[in-house]
Amino acid sequence: MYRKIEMASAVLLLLGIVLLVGIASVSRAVGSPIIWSVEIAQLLFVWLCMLAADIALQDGRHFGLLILLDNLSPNIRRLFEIFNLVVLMALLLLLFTYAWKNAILMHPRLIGATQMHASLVHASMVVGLALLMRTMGIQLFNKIRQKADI
Amino acid sequence: MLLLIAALFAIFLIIGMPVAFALMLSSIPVFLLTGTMPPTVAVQKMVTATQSFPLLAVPFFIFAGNLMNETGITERLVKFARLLTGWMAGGLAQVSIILSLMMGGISGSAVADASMESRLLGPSMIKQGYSKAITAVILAFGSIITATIPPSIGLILFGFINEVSIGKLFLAGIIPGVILTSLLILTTWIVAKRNGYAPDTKGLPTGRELWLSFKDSIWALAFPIILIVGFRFGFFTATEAGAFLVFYASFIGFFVYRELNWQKLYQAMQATISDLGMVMLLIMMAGVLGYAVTIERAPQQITEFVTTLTNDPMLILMLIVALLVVSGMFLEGAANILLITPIVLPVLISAGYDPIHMGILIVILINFGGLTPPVGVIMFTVCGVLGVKTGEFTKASLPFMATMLIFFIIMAAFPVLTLFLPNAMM
Repeated sequence: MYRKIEMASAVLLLLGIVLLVGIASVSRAVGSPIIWSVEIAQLLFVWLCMLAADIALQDGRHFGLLILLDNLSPNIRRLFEIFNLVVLMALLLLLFTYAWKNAILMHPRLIGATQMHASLVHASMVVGLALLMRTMGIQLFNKIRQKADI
Repeated sequence: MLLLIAALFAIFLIIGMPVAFALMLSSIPVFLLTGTMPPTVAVQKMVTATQSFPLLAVPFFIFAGNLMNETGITERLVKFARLLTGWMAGGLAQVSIILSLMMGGISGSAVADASMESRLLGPSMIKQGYSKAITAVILAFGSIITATIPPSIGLILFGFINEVSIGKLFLAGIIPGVILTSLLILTTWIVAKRNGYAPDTKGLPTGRELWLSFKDSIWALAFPIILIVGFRFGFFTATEAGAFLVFYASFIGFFVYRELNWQKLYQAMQATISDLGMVMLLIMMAGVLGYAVTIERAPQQITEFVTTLTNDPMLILMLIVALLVVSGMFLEGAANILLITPIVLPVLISAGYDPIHMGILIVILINFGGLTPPVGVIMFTVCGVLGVKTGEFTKASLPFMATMLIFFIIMAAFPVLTLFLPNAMM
């Protein structure tokens, strides 16, 4: 359910960007450019990126080197994986606190032709990092429980 | 500080951290320790990495590539490729190479092409008596063609990060793509003769067959031409072309071939989002690292270091090629383009090389890294689908490695092959 909503939002953002860029390029060609199209497309894109990054994390798409891990005994490998996830959780938490401060910092700034609050753009990091932390937290929880089973 | 960044990055990679996160982990100390930049800037740099209009071409071309299979475009191209080359020795293998060339005109990713072809053609090749390893090698090497023919995501990323014209890069990739195709066909022919692989079809196709199949695939074959004409006359930018391509492919799928429906469209979008998440997180994190190493003046320091070693342009090129081959062995293509090229391109330009020429060379080299152990994303993809061990793959790939070497020397020695089209047309 959660994943469905996340995916549906991402699909809507993708569709929105395609339509916006498509329509804007046609209207530019016929001589009445939509001045706000680029900044709105970029606003939607940063949100899409963070949602997509989380979906890719759920799908295990963020690859790394496995040479070392593949050559370790299963138990030690699991320890490494747990260590990595703990470090990453700490990293995400750190970034999250700065993303929060940053969004507040950016709020008074008005950008572009639409004069929207810059926090609209930067809030994507707050939400995106929170989503990543949630997914990584679940992965860490599963890893630890899996170890307890054996 | 630069050494610390490099050391941290290497350690995090070795202990199996995802590359995207390793990038952030190794650049965050610059923000925390030096005190010149508050860490909020790191978050801001993640945002600014996405706020670029040219970069929007990436989701569009990934989306279009995912649409190909759902719209029936792929199937028709296979049929056409079969008629064109099926009669040669190693017919089905030749089909796969020509298919990569034609698919390259719509799909922009070598990995996507390799995974699609190994599912589609791999099993029938093995059934016709090809050894599994050779099948995997031919499919994997063929996919490199996709990375040079416009629209190529590697070229978009290269143009984006180094501020080189993407339109010119696209034009520059065409002749190398065709040369690579011919060289691979020749190599496959030799390998097939030696192993006694039979042709796929009996005899040459009739003109009528060829014409009918050509007419059926004309929609897909026409796209690269529309793209180039569009650039030449300034009708659209690479990004707009990407959006147009999505509409174009959907239109063909819904109304011309009538194989696309809403459910398939939704599937293509889901696949696109998962692909996009992987690439974009890399780009965002690479944006942060890129900023950190610029504060630390990495490009200047490396240029200075290289010039203390040698001033000979030829040696500088060879040095950088060696660096790229090594980094290509360990890092995935997009990460490599985003990380290494902004550092090495200034060195090459100051040695007198043309950025467009170097762009094509570098993107080919980096994609080639995807075919070599220990880490080769294209190799892993193909071997995974066909069940081949990477050791066997590497052994079977030797003749093709030789071909790539020859191709590469030709490309490096004759810049005119890459620069002719962009200079003539833009």
